Parts: sequence; C-alpha cells; structure tokens
Amino acid sequence: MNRRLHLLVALGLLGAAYLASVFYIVHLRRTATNPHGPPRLVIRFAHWQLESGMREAFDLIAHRYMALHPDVRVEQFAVPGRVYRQWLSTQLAAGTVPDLVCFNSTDQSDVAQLPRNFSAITRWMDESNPYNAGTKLAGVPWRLTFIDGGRNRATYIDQYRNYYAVGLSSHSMRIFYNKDLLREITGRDAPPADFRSWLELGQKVRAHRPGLIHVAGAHDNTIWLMPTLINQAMAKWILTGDHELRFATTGFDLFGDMLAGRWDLRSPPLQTSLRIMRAFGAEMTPGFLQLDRDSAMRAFLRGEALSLPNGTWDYPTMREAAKFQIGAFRLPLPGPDDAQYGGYALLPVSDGGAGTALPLYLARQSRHPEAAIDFLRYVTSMEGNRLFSQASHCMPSVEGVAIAPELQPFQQNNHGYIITDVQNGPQLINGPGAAYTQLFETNLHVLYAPDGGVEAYTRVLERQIREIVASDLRKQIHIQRENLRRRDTALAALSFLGPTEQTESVRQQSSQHLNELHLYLMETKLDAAAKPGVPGLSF
Amino acid sequence: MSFAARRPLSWLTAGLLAAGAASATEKTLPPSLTEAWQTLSIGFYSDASDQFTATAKSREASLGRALTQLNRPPVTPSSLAEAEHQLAELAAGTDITSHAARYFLGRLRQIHPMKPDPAAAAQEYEHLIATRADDTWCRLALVKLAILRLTVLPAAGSLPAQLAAVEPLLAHTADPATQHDLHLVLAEARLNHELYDASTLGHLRAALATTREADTMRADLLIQVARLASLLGDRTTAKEHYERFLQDYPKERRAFTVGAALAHLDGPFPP
Repeated sequence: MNRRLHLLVALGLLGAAYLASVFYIVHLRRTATNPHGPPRLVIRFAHWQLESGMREAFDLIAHRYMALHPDVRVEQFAVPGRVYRQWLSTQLAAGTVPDLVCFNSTDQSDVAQLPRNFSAITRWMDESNPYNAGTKLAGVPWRLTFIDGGRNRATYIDQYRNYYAVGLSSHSMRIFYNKDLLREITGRDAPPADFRSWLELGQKVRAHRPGLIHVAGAHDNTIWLMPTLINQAMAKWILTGDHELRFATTGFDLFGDMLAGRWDLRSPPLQTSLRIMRAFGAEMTPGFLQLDRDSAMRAFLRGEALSLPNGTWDYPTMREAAKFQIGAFRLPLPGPDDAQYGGYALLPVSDGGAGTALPLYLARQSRHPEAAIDFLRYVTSMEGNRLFSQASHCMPSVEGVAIAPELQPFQQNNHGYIITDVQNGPQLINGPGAAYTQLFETNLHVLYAPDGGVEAYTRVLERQIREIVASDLRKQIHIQRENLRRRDTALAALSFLGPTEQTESVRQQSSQHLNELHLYLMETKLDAAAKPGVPGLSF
Repeated sequence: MSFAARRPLSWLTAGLLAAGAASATEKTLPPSLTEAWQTLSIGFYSDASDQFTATAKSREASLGRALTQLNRPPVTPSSLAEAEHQLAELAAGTDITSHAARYFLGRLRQIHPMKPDPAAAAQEYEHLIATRADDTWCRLALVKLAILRLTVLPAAGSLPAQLAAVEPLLAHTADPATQHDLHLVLAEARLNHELYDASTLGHLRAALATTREADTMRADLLIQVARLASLLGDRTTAKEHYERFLQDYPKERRAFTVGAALAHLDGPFPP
C-alpha cells in the first residue's frame, strides 16, 4: 500500500510538473508574440531580394501587419537568386509553396505554366483596397492605385487577360554618378542635359586625371541599358511598324517588315543605332565587355569612374558603400537636329513603361488566399507601400505615395512617348530571340575594337541576320503554339463548369483567337520570305 | 471484468470502426465530372485523366479523357492517334458532346501534329457549322475557320478571296461574343495587310460596340478606331475615341502618346 501510494504521489508530481511546464510555455509564447492567443493562420511569402535593406523592409511590413492582425503570423522566405528557380520548382512539386511568391513571368514557357501554379487575382483587383480608407485612393479599384494601373508584363498576362500579381516597388535604369567628382571636374554637380554634352563630359573626365573613366562599364550593364537606349532613340522609326494602329509595335511587326525587305542593317535608322552604340561604348572602361557588374560597381565606388549605368535596385547597396554623394540621371537622347546620332527619337520619351517591380503572385496551393490577398493589399496601400519604400530605399509602386528626396531622381517618367507592345515589344538589340541577341553580343568586340567600328560590325552581322531572325521567329511561333495547345483544353474544361467559368472561357478565347491569327500571319510572312528568288534567304 | 467496465471500451471500438468505415467510404467516393474538369482546367493532365476514368461512364467523361490525351506527356504520334480515335467515335453522335468532339478533331488536325493539316481542320469546322447549332463549339469553329481562311486557306497571298470567304461567316451566328470575335479577327487581318479603309473601320467599331467596359481589349480598340478614323479624315470620330481612351484609361502606358496624337489631329503624327 505504501509503495502504491508513493507511486501515485510520484506520478501526480510528474503530471503536475508537466502541466505547469505546458502552461508556462504556452503563456510565454502568447505574451511574447501574441497576447491575444495563438495565430489563427500563417501567411508565408518568398522572394530573392537579398540586396541591402530588403529583408529588413519585408520584416518591418510583416510586423506592422501582424500588429494590425494579431491572429495572423507572416513569415518571410528570402532565397538566394542563384537557387530560387530550383527551390520554387521543388516547393511547387512538393505542395509546400508559400502563399505568395515572387516570380519572373517573362519567359514564355513560365507563362505557359502560370495558371497551373498561380491564381488570377482579377476579381480582387477590381475592388477597392480597404487599407486606403481615408486616403485619396479610398474607393479606387485596387489595380488603379498602382503607378502603371496594375498592368505590366509581369502582373497582367495578356494571353490570359487576367491580373496575376501586384508589384511592391518600381525601378528604372539610370546613370549613377559621383557628385563630388563631377563638381571637381566641371565646377557644378548637375548632370549633362543632352547627348552631345554627355559626350563632351567624357572628354573632360579623361583630361582631368589619367586613368579616370567616364562610365564604369560592364557586359551586364551594357546589355541592360543599350536595348532601351536604342529603342528610345529609334522610337519614331519603330512606330512605322505598328501596322495594327495600336501605338504598340510588336516584335512580329518589326521583324516581319525586315523579312519583307522593308529594312535592313544598312537602313539609316539602323546605322544611326549602331553609331550610338559605338559612341556609348567609347565612354566606358576599356575592355568592358570582359567585366561583370560587380567589377564596374567596385570601380565606381572606389572613385575610379565618374558614373555607372545601373538599375535602381542596386541603389540601397551603393548608398551604403559609397563615401561620396550619389546622383542619378537618365542618359539624354540625341536631339532631332543631331545629324550623326539623332532624328529618330520621339521626345519626350517615357522611361519605357517598365511598370512596377517585385511582383508577388498568389499560389494556387495557398490555404488562405483571402488572407494572403489582404496582406498584399496592406503592403500596397498608401501606408504600407510608404513604409516599405522608406525602409528598402526603393521607389514605391503606388500612386501618390510620398517619395523620399534621395529617391526623386529615380522616379519613373511615364509622361512621354512609348510605342512598343507591353508583352511582345521589339528590341532592336535583343531581337526576336536568343540567337539574334547572341549574334549582336558575341560580335560587339568588332564594334568597339580600335580598328573596328560600325561598318565592320554591319558586315559581320549582315551575313547571318536574316536567317537568324527567321529562325528566332519560328522558335517563337513554336513556343506560342505550344501555349495555345495547353490553353485550348484548359478553356474547354472551363466551359464545362459553372456560369462564371464559362464567361471566363469565352473572354479568354478572344485573345486566344488574336494570338492564333498573328501566329499564322507571321508564319505566312516567313514562308513568303523563304520562297526561292528572295535573295540571301534559305530557311 | 464486468459488462459495465467493458462498456466504454465497446463504445470506443464501435466509434473507431464507424470512423474507419466513414473514412473508407470517403476515400472510395469517385471524383465528380466537375472535379475532373477543374483539374484539367489547371493543366494536370494525368490527374484529370484518372479522375475522368474513375467517374461513372458517360460521353462527357469520355470526351474529358480524350482531351487530356491531347496534352498528357509524352505526346507522341500514337497518343494523338488514340485521342483522334476517341474523338472520332464521340463525334458520330448529334448531341453537344459530339459537337465538342468534332471541334477538337479540328483542333487536333490544326495545332497538335508535327505537320498540321489546316485544310482537314477546316473541313471539321465546316461540318460543325453546317449543323446550324449555335452552341459553344459551333461558335468557336466559326472563328477558327475564319482565322484559317484569313491566313492559309485557300492559299496565302490571295487576300481579296480570303476576305470574301470570311465575311459571310458573320451571318452564321447571333451570339454577340462570336460576332465580336469575328469582327475582331477580320479587322486585325485587314490592318495587318494595311487595308486602312472604311470596311476595316466598320469591323473595328462593331468589335468595340460589343466589348465590355472593363475589358482590357477595349483600350486597344479605342486607339485603333481613332487612328484609322484619323487616317480616313474622320476627325470627329478620331477625337471622340482618343478622348474616351484618355477618360477611361488615364494611367495606361500609351496615355501620353494618345494625348499627343489628339493634340496633332490637324497635322502629321508623329510630329
């Protein structure tokens, strides 16, 4: 009996200790994280933005949201860009993908997979954002609260005629410059106002100090900036390819004209483009094609170069590392009277309609889509986006959000001409596909070599360019037809569901029809160009 | 042990057995056709195929299986031949499933094989249109036939003949969405060939009239009507449509360009 009593007492003590510790842990967690009780749900989001200050900005916004919603916990997954794609594929396959995902949708095959992995958010975009109550955006449909009306090639997928993401920030390409050094060289810190003044500044820089570089060049930065620069400088000419009168020339339009013999590399606009490229390269670090962006940035930060072409996404990192004041400006385009470089621009020019950046998509696998959308609404409300912009030093994506003075030079200028299609805009330098881009890039040394130049570069490119354009366009048609096949059965399936899905199916069929028509029209042009008797073509 | 002592245990056992039975019942419930179509709508072809197979036998389920077969990897000539066989069997009927099957027989010949056969596809569409049933599949067949006739049939290069073969298709449907799509492809093909005339403007205006306010395609159509009207010297129509665009899409990326075009209505544009 005595032994049994001891056993009962021991078990009782053990049970009491267990209960006490459970109570202690639960109480501790409640008071530490959430005084109102355990979170009802957890929202997770993933991105690859590891630049200085980004994770902290995301944390700030998540904590602010959790303070407003004590029953929700928001978790951030910052995954390095190098492994992001593989990581995301694994998560999608395993069914463990976070509710909201930063994703790059510009690749055609990715776009094809999009409806499979992510949900369209159009119905929410048409409603107002409740977090804008009491502001000037109160009652405004969510999509219209963004600086680009919620539409850019990442957030609105034309092919599906649906919104799929919202952008949290905005970016632009700028020439960053060392204000202290510019003052030392010119006596003032204002950047040059036109293309010719910019070229003259280069001469002053080289004369100022032996070895001082005007523009810290790198292969990456050149490849990012050059296509935009050339497109802008040629806008008036590119518009002549807009046969369907949309003010939105497509790659099919422009390169179809090339195959039809309407232009070639010897045409004056193309020769002017190549002269601009040559002049731009001459301002950069000798041998820049062999350098990467980090070397260029280091040279700029060490004061070895006056300026650096770069995206504003790198500004937070540069700001932290630079020991001088950083300024930024848009590279001015050649004026209409400039016989050597000008005559084809439409001025003023828009920044290119880059729209918003950092697009977050709603995963189909999300168990809490409404809550995830609510979080997105907060991040893109006037308050949330201001907090995010201030903490990340990135430009806001929402209309009317106050922009810090240091970020003012980065503000996108959308009050200018833009004449290329948002989804399928032609790029004179990047062309209609990978082979064309490779042709231009791998031969750039001919353009920039001391014994090279525009004529030598033209001779190299023109040997293959028509065949390469044709082959790139055929590849594009192949990929788009693959998308058509998949959408065909998907839209058929929708028409066997409820009235909402049936309406959606009919709506999306219209853009399917247009896409299909354009594929055939392009194919017809390719076939016509390949007929015997057309000089120089054999594809 | 007394019965009273054993009773809770027997209740517990009974409860567990009931829960197990319920769970088993739940697991063996076949998926519905709706679930299968939903799975197909997001591109999970193998899963959708399994679900269609598991549903009760019906012509609709057979159609679903045939459609999954069109895209389920690996897509091979033999898998397409099997899909064709299934669709051909279903197309023999007269109900809506047979119409869907015939439509997809056309699509199979048009966009699925390595060497598409647009003429054979057109025959399927014509067969469907000849039934005079103004249903989903006949409507889609009308637009797909129009696209083929505007581009590759009878032969590329004979534009007037191609256009003449498509205009009559408009009379085959009373459905506003299909009328819209037919006007749209007609207008787009004419513009692509730079036929900037009153007929093209008519098709654009007809398409615009049946485009919903919230539809993003409307922004394009407003600009197209305005620019073509301007080219044809109809400044009033051009002004009206440019202004409507600016009013309805003030943040659209082309708003500045449209504003400039409006300001230069009296002169050349771009300036």
